[in-house]
Amino acid sequence: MNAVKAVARELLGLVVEDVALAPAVLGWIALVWLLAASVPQPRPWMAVLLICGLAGILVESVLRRSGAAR
Amino acid sequence: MAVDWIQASPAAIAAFLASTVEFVEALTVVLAVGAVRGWRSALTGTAAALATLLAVVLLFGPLLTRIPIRGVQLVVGGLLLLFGLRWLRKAVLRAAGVIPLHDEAAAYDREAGSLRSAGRAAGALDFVGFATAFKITLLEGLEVVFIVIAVGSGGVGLLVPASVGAVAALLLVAALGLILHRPLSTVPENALKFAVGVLLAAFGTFWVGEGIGLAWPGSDWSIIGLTLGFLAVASLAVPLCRRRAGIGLSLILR
Repeated sequence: MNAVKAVARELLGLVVEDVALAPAVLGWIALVWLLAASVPQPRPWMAVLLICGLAGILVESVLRRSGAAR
Repeated sequence: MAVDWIQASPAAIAAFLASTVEFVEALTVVLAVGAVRGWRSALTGTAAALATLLAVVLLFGPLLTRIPIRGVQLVVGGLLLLFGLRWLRKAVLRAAGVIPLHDEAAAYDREAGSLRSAGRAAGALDFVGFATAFKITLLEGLEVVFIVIAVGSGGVGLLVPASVGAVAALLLVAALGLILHRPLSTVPENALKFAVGVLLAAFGTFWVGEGIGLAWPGSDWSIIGLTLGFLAVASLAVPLCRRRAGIGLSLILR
Protein backbone atom coordinates (compact mmCIF):
# COMPACT_ATOMS: atom_id res chain seq x y z
CA MET A 1 0.00 0.00 0.00
CA ASN A 2 2.88 2.31 0.88
CA ALA A 3 4.49 1.61 -2.50
CA VAL A 4 1.21 2.46 -4.30
CA LYS A 5 0.95 5.71 -2.31
CA ALA A 6 4.58 6.55 -3.13
CA VAL A 7 3.98 5.96 -6.85
CA ALA A 8 0.74 8.03 -6.78
CA ARG A 9 2.53 10.85 -4.92
CA GLU A 10 5.38 10.69 -7.41
CA LEU A 11 2.99 10.85 -10.38
CA LEU A 12 1.15 13.87 -8.95
CA GLY A 13 4.48 15.45 -8.03
CA LEU A 14 5.55 15.18 -11.67
CA VAL A 15 3.33 18.10 -12.58
CA VAL A 16 2.35 19.81 -9.31
CA GLU A 17 4.85 21.35 -6.90
CA ASP A 18 3.82 24.95 -6.34
CA VAL A 19 0.07 24.74 -5.64
CA ALA A 20 -0.55 28.11 -7.31
CA LEU A 21 1.52 27.43 -10.46
CA ALA A 22 -0.49 24.53 -11.95
CA PRO A 23 -3.96 26.16 -11.60
CA ALA A 24 -2.61 29.45 -12.97
CA VAL A 25 -1.12 27.68 -16.03
CA LEU A 26 -4.31 25.70 -16.68
CA GLY A 27 -6.45 28.83 -16.16
CA TRP A 28 -4.35 30.80 -18.65
CA ILE A 29 -4.60 28.00 -21.25
CA ALA A 30 -8.39 27.93 -20.78
CA LEU A 31 -8.58 31.71 -21.20
CA VAL A 32 -6.58 31.71 -24.46
CA TRP A 33 -8.62 28.72 -25.67
CA LEU A 34 -11.86 30.64 -25.08
CA LEU A 35 -10.41 33.64 -26.90
CA ALA A 36 -9.31 31.48 -29.85
CA ALA A 37 -12.69 29.76 -29.99
CA SER A 38 -14.53 33.09 -30.05
CA VAL A 39 -13.15 34.04 -33.51
CA PRO A 40 -13.53 32.11 -36.79
CA GLN A 41 -9.76 32.11 -37.48
CA PRO A 42 -7.31 32.34 -34.52
CA ARG A 43 -4.73 35.14 -34.93
CA PRO A 44 -0.94 34.71 -34.46
CA TRP A 45 -0.96 37.25 -31.59
CA MET A 46 -3.04 34.78 -29.58
CA ALA A 47 -0.08 32.36 -29.64
CA VAL A 48 2.16 35.20 -28.46
CA LEU A 49 -0.38 35.95 -25.72
CA LEU A 50 -0.19 32.28 -24.60
CA ILE A 51 3.59 32.28 -24.17
CA CYS A 52 3.70 35.77 -22.58
CA GLY A 53 1.16 34.69 -19.97
CA LEU A 54 3.01 31.45 -19.22
CA ALA A 55 6.32 33.29 -18.90
CA GLY A 56 4.67 35.79 -16.55
CA ILE A 57 3.23 32.98 -14.40
CA LEU A 58 6.69 31.35 -14.13
CA VAL A 59 8.36 34.63 -13.12
CA GLU A 60 5.64 35.38 -10.55
CA SER A 61 6.04 31.89 -9.05
CA VAL A 62 9.85 32.07 -8.63
CA LEU A 63 9.73 35.63 -7.30
CA ARG A 64 7.04 34.71 -4.77
CA ARG A 65 9.14 31.75 -3.58
CA SER A 66 12.26 33.94 -3.41
CA GLY A 67 10.38 36.54 -1.36
CA ALA A 68 9.27 33.82 1.07
CA ALA A 69 12.90 32.70 1.52
CA ARG A 70 14.00 36.16 2.68
CA MET B 1 6.90 7.60 -41.94
CA ALA B 2 8.52 11.02 -42.37
CA VAL B 3 10.21 12.42 -39.29
CA ASP B 4 10.04 16.17 -38.81
CA TRP B 5 13.62 16.94 -37.72
CA ILE B 6 12.68 20.38 -36.39
CA GLN B 7 10.68 18.52 -33.74
CA ALA B 8 12.64 15.23 -33.67
CA SER B 9 16.04 16.70 -32.75
CA PRO B 10 14.85 18.71 -29.71
CA ALA B 11 12.65 15.71 -28.72
CA ALA B 12 15.68 13.39 -28.66
CA ILE B 13 17.83 15.97 -26.85
CA ALA B 14 15.11 16.72 -24.25
CA ALA B 15 14.56 13.00 -23.59
CA PHE B 16 18.32 12.38 -23.36
CA LEU B 17 19.02 15.25 -20.94
CA ALA B 18 15.96 14.61 -18.75
CA SER B 19 16.69 10.88 -18.61
CA THR B 20 20.33 11.56 -17.70
CA VAL B 21 19.22 13.59 -14.66
CA GLU B 22 16.79 10.89 -13.54
CA PHE B 23 19.22 7.98 -14.10
CA VAL B 24 22.01 9.79 -12.24
CA GLU B 25 19.69 10.12 -9.21
CA ALA B 26 18.71 6.44 -9.45
CA LEU B 27 22.35 5.35 -9.88
CA THR B 28 23.31 7.05 -6.59
CA VAL B 29 20.84 4.91 -4.64
CA VAL B 30 21.58 1.69 -6.58
CA LEU B 31 25.31 2.17 -5.88
CA ALA B 32 24.55 2.67 -2.16
CA VAL B 33 22.44 -0.52 -2.17
CA GLY B 34 25.20 -2.46 -3.94
CA ALA B 35 27.93 -1.27 -1.58
CA VAL B 36 25.94 -1.79 1.65
CA ARG B 37 23.47 -4.64 0.94
CA GLY B 38 25.23 -6.47 -1.90
CA TRP B 39 25.22 -6.28 -5.69
CA ARG B 40 22.86 -9.21 -6.20
CA SER B 41 19.90 -7.44 -4.58
CA ALA B 42 20.83 -4.08 -6.16
CA LEU B 43 21.00 -5.46 -9.71
CA THR B 44 17.96 -7.74 -9.32
CA GLY B 45 15.85 -4.84 -7.99
CA THR B 46 17.02 -2.56 -10.81
CA ALA B 47 16.36 -5.21 -13.49
CA ALA B 48 12.85 -5.91 -12.10
CA ALA B 49 12.00 -2.19 -12.14
CA LEU B 50 13.33 -1.77 -15.71
CA ALA B 51 11.18 -4.73 -16.83
CA THR B 52 8.11 -3.11 -15.18
CA LEU B 53 8.86 0.19 -16.92
CA LEU B 54 9.25 -1.56 -20.28
CA ALA B 55 5.81 -3.13 -19.77
CA VAL B 56 4.33 0.33 -19.02
CA VAL B 57 5.86 1.74 -22.24
CA LEU B 58 4.63 -1.20 -24.34
CA LEU B 59 1.14 -0.82 -22.84
CA PHE B 60 0.64 2.95 -23.02
CA GLY B 61 2.80 3.86 -26.05
CA PRO B 62 0.61 2.16 -28.70
CA LEU B 63 -2.61 3.23 -26.88
CA LEU B 64 -1.74 6.91 -27.36
CA THR B 65 -1.42 6.49 -31.12
CA ARG B 66 -5.14 5.53 -31.25
CA ILE B 67 -6.30 8.86 -29.80
CA PRO B 68 -6.80 11.79 -32.23
CA ILE B 69 -3.57 13.83 -32.43
CA ARG B 70 -5.24 17.13 -31.44
CA GLY B 71 -6.62 15.64 -28.21
CA VAL B 72 -3.24 14.07 -27.38
CA GLN B 73 -1.44 17.34 -28.09
CA LEU B 74 -3.70 19.29 -25.73
CA VAL B 75 -3.62 16.81 -22.82
CA VAL B 76 -0.01 15.67 -23.17
CA GLY B 77 1.14 19.19 -24.05
CA GLY B 78 -0.57 20.50 -20.91
CA LEU B 79 1.09 17.85 -18.74
CA LEU B 80 4.45 18.43 -20.43
CA LEU B 81 4.10 22.17 -19.89
CA LEU B 82 3.33 21.72 -16.17
CA PHE B 83 6.22 19.25 -15.85
CA GLY B 84 8.64 21.51 -17.74
CA LEU B 85 7.67 24.62 -15.79
CA ARG B 86 8.08 22.69 -12.50
CA TRP B 87 11.65 21.72 -13.47
CA LEU B 88 12.41 25.20 -14.76
CA ARG B 89 11.06 26.81 -11.59
CA LYS B 90 13.23 24.57 -9.41
CA ALA B 91 16.31 25.11 -11.62
CA VAL B 92 15.86 28.91 -11.49
CA LEU B 93 15.49 28.85 -7.69
CA ARG B 94 18.58 26.61 -7.35
CA ALA B 95 20.63 28.75 -9.75
CA ALA B 96 19.66 31.82 -7.71
CA GLY B 97 20.66 30.11 -4.45
CA VAL B 98 17.13 30.30 -3.00
CA ILE B 99 16.99 26.51 -2.56
CA PRO B 100 20.08 24.26 -2.20
CA LEU B 101 21.57 22.36 -5.15
CA HIS B 102 21.03 18.60 -5.28
CA ASP B 103 24.15 16.91 -3.87
CA GLU B 104 24.64 13.32 -5.12
CA ALA B 105 27.51 12.60 -2.70
CA ALA B 106 25.37 13.68 0.28
CA ALA B 107 22.42 11.66 -1.07
CA TYR B 108 24.69 8.60 -1.33
CA ASP B 109 25.93 8.97 2.27
CA ARG B 110 22.36 9.46 3.52
CA GLU B 111 21.09 6.37 1.68
CA ALA B 112 24.06 4.21 2.69
CA GLY B 113 23.58 5.18 6.36
CA SER B 114 19.88 4.33 6.19
CA LEU B 115 20.60 0.94 4.54
CA ARG B 116 23.24 0.04 7.16
CA SER B 117 20.77 0.64 9.97
CA ALA B 118 18.18 -1.72 8.39
CA GLY B 119 19.79 -4.92 9.78
CA ARG B 120 21.24 -7.90 7.94
CA ALA B 121 19.48 -10.04 5.34
CA ALA B 122 17.99 -13.37 6.40
CA GLY B 123 17.85 -15.19 3.03
CA ALA B 124 19.94 -15.43 -0.11
CA LEU B 125 18.34 -12.31 -1.61
CA ASP B 126 18.36 -9.21 0.59
CA PHE B 127 14.78 -7.89 0.48
CA VAL B 128 15.67 -4.42 1.81
CA GLY B 129 18.30 -3.98 -0.90
CA PHE B 130 16.02 -5.39 -3.61
CA ALA B 131 13.07 -3.16 -2.58
CA THR B 132 15.21 -0.01 -2.33
CA ALA B 133 16.80 -0.52 -5.77
CA PHE B 134 13.42 -1.47 -7.27
CA LYS B 135 11.63 1.56 -5.79
CA ILE B 136 14.19 4.20 -6.83
CA THR B 137 14.56 2.78 -10.35
CA LEU B 138 10.78 2.58 -10.74
CA LEU B 139 10.11 6.10 -9.42
CA GLU B 140 12.88 7.82 -11.39
CA GLY B 141 12.11 5.63 -14.40
CA LEU B 142 8.44 6.63 -14.29
CA GLU B 143 9.52 10.23 -14.87
CA VAL B 144 11.60 9.06 -17.84
CA VAL B 145 8.66 7.06 -19.24
CA PHE B 146 6.38 10.08 -18.78
CA ILE B 147 8.83 12.33 -20.64
CA VAL B 148 9.41 9.82 -23.47
CA ILE B 149 5.70 9.14 -23.96
CA ALA B 150 4.77 12.82 -23.62
CA VAL B 151 7.52 14.07 -25.94
CA GLY B 152 7.00 11.14 -28.31
CA SER B 153 3.22 11.40 -28.66
CA GLY B 154 3.02 15.11 -29.49
CA GLY B 155 3.95 14.67 -33.15
CA VAL B 156 4.23 12.06 -35.89
CA GLY B 157 7.27 9.77 -35.54
CA LEU B 158 8.62 11.39 -32.36
CA LEU B 159 8.38 8.32 -30.11
CA VAL B 160 11.47 6.73 -31.70
CA PRO B 161 13.85 9.73 -31.33
CA ALA B 162 12.58 10.32 -27.77
CA SER B 163 13.12 6.62 -26.89
CA VAL B 164 16.58 6.65 -28.48
CA GLY B 165 17.48 9.68 -26.34
CA ALA B 166 16.32 7.94 -23.15
CA VAL B 167 18.07 4.63 -23.96
CA ALA B 168 21.30 6.52 -24.79
CA ALA B 169 21.10 8.24 -21.39
CA LEU B 170 20.52 4.89 -19.64
CA LEU B 171 23.54 3.30 -21.37
CA LEU B 172 25.75 6.32 -20.67
CA VAL B 173 24.87 6.54 -16.96
CA ALA B 174 25.10 2.74 -16.51
CA ALA B 175 28.52 2.69 -18.21
CA LEU B 176 29.78 5.57 -16.06
CA GLY B 177 28.44 3.83 -12.96
CA LEU B 178 30.22 0.59 -13.89
CA ILE B 179 33.50 2.37 -14.60
CA LEU B 180 33.53 4.85 -11.71
CA HIS B 181 31.66 2.89 -9.00
CA ARG B 182 30.70 6.12 -7.23
CA PRO B 183 27.91 8.73 -7.47
CA LEU B 184 28.14 11.06 -10.47
CA SER B 185 28.34 14.16 -8.30
CA THR B 186 30.25 16.16 -10.92
CA VAL B 187 27.37 16.02 -13.42
CA PRO B 188 26.02 19.61 -13.73
CA GLU B 189 22.56 18.46 -12.67
CA ASN B 190 21.00 21.89 -12.27
CA ALA B 191 22.25 23.08 -15.66
CA LEU B 192 20.72 19.94 -17.20
CA LYS B 193 17.44 20.54 -15.35
CA PHE B 194 17.45 24.16 -16.54
CA ALA B 195 17.94 23.06 -20.18
CA VAL B 196 15.33 20.29 -19.95
CA GLY B 197 12.84 22.63 -18.26
CA VAL B 198 13.26 25.13 -21.10
CA LEU B 199 12.85 22.44 -23.82
CA LEU B 200 9.84 20.75 -22.21
CA ALA B 201 8.11 24.07 -21.50
CA ALA B 202 8.67 25.06 -25.15
CA PHE B 203 7.34 21.72 -26.46
CA GLY B 204 4.40 21.79 -24.06
CA THR B 205 3.44 25.35 -25.05
CA PHE B 206 3.69 24.50 -28.76
CA TRP B 207 1.48 21.43 -28.48
CA VAL B 208 -1.05 23.11 -26.22
CA GLY B 209 -1.26 25.88 -28.82
CA GLU B 210 -1.75 23.31 -31.59
CA GLY B 211 -4.31 21.49 -29.46
CA ILE B 212 -6.46 24.59 -28.93
CA GLY B 213 -6.19 25.52 -32.61
CA LEU B 214 -3.77 28.47 -32.41
CA ALA B 215 -1.80 29.57 -35.47
CA TRP B 216 1.91 29.62 -34.57
CA PRO B 217 3.91 32.27 -36.44
CA GLY B 218 6.50 30.33 -38.50
CA SER B 219 4.69 27.01 -37.90
CA ASP B 220 7.10 24.31 -36.53
CA TRP B 221 9.99 26.80 -36.44
CA SER B 222 8.25 28.61 -33.60
CA ILE B 223 9.49 25.78 -31.30
CA ILE B 224 12.94 27.36 -31.60
CA GLY B 225 11.49 30.78 -30.80
CA LEU B 226 9.63 29.33 -27.80
CA THR B 227 12.82 27.64 -26.57
CA LEU B 228 14.80 30.88 -26.82
CA GLY B 229 11.94 32.80 -25.20
CA PHE B 230 11.73 30.49 -22.15
CA LEU B 231 15.54 30.45 -21.91
CA ALA B 232 15.68 34.26 -21.87
CA VAL B 233 12.88 34.61 -19.32
CA ALA B 234 14.33 31.95 -16.99
CA SER B 235 17.86 33.38 -17.27
CA LEU B 236 16.59 36.88 -16.45
CA ALA B 237 14.57 35.51 -13.54
CA VAL B 238 17.71 34.19 -11.78
CA PRO B 239 19.20 37.61 -10.81
CA LEU B 240 15.70 38.91 -10.01
CA CYS B 241 15.16 36.01 -7.57
CA ARG B 242 18.59 36.61 -6.03
CA ARG B 243 17.76 40.27 -5.45
CA ARG B 244 14.29 39.40 -4.12
CA ALA B 245 15.72 36.87 -1.64
CA GLY B 246 18.50 39.28 -0.60
CA ILE B 247 21.23 36.87 -1.67
CA GLY B 248 24.65 38.36 -2.44
CA LEU B 249 26.80 37.17 -5.35
CA SER B 250 29.50 35.94 -2.93
CA LEU B 251 27.08 33.39 -1.47
CA ILE B 252 26.37 31.99 -4.93
CA LEU B 253 30.05 31.69 -5.83
CA ARG B 254 30.95 29.90 -2.60
